[in-house]
Amino acid sequence: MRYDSRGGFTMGVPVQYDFTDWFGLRAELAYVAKGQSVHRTHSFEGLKSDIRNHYLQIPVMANFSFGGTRLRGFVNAGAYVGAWLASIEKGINVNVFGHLTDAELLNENTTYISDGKLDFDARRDNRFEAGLTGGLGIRYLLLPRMEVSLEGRCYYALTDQQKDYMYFHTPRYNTTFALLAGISFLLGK
Amino acid sequence: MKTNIRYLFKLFVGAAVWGVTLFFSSCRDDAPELLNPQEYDINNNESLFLAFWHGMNNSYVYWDVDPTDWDAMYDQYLPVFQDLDEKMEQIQMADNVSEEEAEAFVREMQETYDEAFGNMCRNLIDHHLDINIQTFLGNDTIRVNLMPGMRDELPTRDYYHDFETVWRLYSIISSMEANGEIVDLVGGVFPPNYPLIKPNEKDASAFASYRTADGIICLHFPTFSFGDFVADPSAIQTQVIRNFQKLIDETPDVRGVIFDVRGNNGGNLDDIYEILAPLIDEDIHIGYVRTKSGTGRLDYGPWTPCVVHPAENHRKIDAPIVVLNDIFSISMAEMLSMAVQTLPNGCVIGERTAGGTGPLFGDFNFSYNGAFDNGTIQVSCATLMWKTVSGEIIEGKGVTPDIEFLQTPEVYNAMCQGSDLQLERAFEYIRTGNIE
Repeated sequence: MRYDSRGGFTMGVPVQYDFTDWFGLRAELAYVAKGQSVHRTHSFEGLKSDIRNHYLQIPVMANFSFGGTRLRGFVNAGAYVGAWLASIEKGINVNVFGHLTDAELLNENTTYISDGKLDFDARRDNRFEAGLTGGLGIRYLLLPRMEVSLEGRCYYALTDQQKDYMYFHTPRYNTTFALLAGISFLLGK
Repeated sequence: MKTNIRYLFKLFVGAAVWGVTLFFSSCRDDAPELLNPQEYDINNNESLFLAFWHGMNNSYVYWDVDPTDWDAMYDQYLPVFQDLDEKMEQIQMADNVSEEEAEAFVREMQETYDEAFGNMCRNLIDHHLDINIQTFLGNDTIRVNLMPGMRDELPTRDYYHDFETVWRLYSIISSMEANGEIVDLVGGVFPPNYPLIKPNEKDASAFASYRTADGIICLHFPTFSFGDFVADPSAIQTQVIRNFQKLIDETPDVRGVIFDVRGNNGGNLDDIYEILAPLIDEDIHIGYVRTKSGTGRLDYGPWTPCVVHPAENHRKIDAPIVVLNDIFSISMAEMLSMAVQTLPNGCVIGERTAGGTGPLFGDFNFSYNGAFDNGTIQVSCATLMWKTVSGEIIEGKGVTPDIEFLQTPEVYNAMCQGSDLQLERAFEYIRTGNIE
């Protein structure tokens, strides 16, 4: 069995207030698609499960910037809270009545393609997530009131995806890396 | 100077933020150390208890619906096994231990094992569950064998009977042939040395296929093992199933089909392609299964439909298809019953079955759950959880028949006298449609 991360999409609306030319406070409302894959190996090669988890997140970060007037580097550091909205699973599973033979485990008769919403289980699933976030990026003042930015960010969850519902529970934490490209409109003086 | 102070302040704030960040990043809980239950190193009573508790904790497929509080069992019984180890150590350290004291401790250990494991497993609903624990204390052996479903729960049902429903079945079938009631009979008593069947009674188990004079085709079988013998044309199982399939193919007007799975203890899932698939001409959806997807008790994969495809050589049977079962019908016998109940012409006549509906794969590596064996502890249990097409999980409950027919002492006595009243009820249903 092999576990892999999954790429996804993120989109958000940021708001930033600069107290000084090098320090500001930034908050965002962002959608983030997280996920993971499980692939079977050896004699079970071909069976797999891809899970997509949809989150709505609000990171709040201190923004430190440095550099020139037009081109500046910046560092974000802070925390975030998020809500787990939905979960979708796509996979290849065994149809146990599919006339399995030793010669060929997987064919159209012996497999079932799953593709659908996963139900949340209130006993198990923690719909709330919180953690640390930080990023490193650059921004360029394109116009007097418009700048573009590129940032590499990490969301590091400190809360478990699951509740602590059993002894010797194995915790699951999301660690998400994102590459963000954005346009900001500068308001105020 | 002012610039230096500003620079130092920026540096301080940045360092403080990252310092706090790094501090909180250590707040994640560590994953517990979990071992494959088949590789647990057992060297005392505590480690034996932990091997069993953890093995079931991670492998048992019914935690979603089972009423047992498994964490409470850990709290209650870990100290009990730790106490046993302390006592054992005291005895081993003592200079003079009499034979009586040693025997008393062996008895205490056996009683503790019986009580602890018995209480832990009493309400587990998996009716395939078969637990064997064997450990050694000097020259003495401590043994535990538990079947909470079949041995503890089944006898509590008000219709429970401890007699074999199909005792003398083959004698009755032979009489029917002699009387001209049936033709084209192929069958016989199951070989007495076959490991799955208790060879206690003459005619205790029978494989048979035949046709009544008016075209009802019957198949009696005690276990789903046709696939094991299909390569051997001389095996009674192969001859019986091929005769059944020939009768399906060649009987011009099939009046009905009867599958007799009374006392049937299940077997190969694939046997459904020898038995039911030749009678359908399109896919039938007979239920759903799911298995574990992780070590958590509530980690499950998606519900996967169980679909039976028509056999390559098939003939659609529109006449009634009947399954005869009883309280001892389990596993594949129940899945066949549920499959027939999905057909518009299907009918199950008998008793509410055992309720062991979860398929067993026997390969722990398939989903890292289900049966496990580490030499000291052998647990045989379901790998997958089953639910009906209507979404009901009937593990521990069983298949409810469409027409109830209870194995009463009167029915048993009739069987001893040469009359199979349940089989006759099936004939009546097929011939008249009477469901009362």
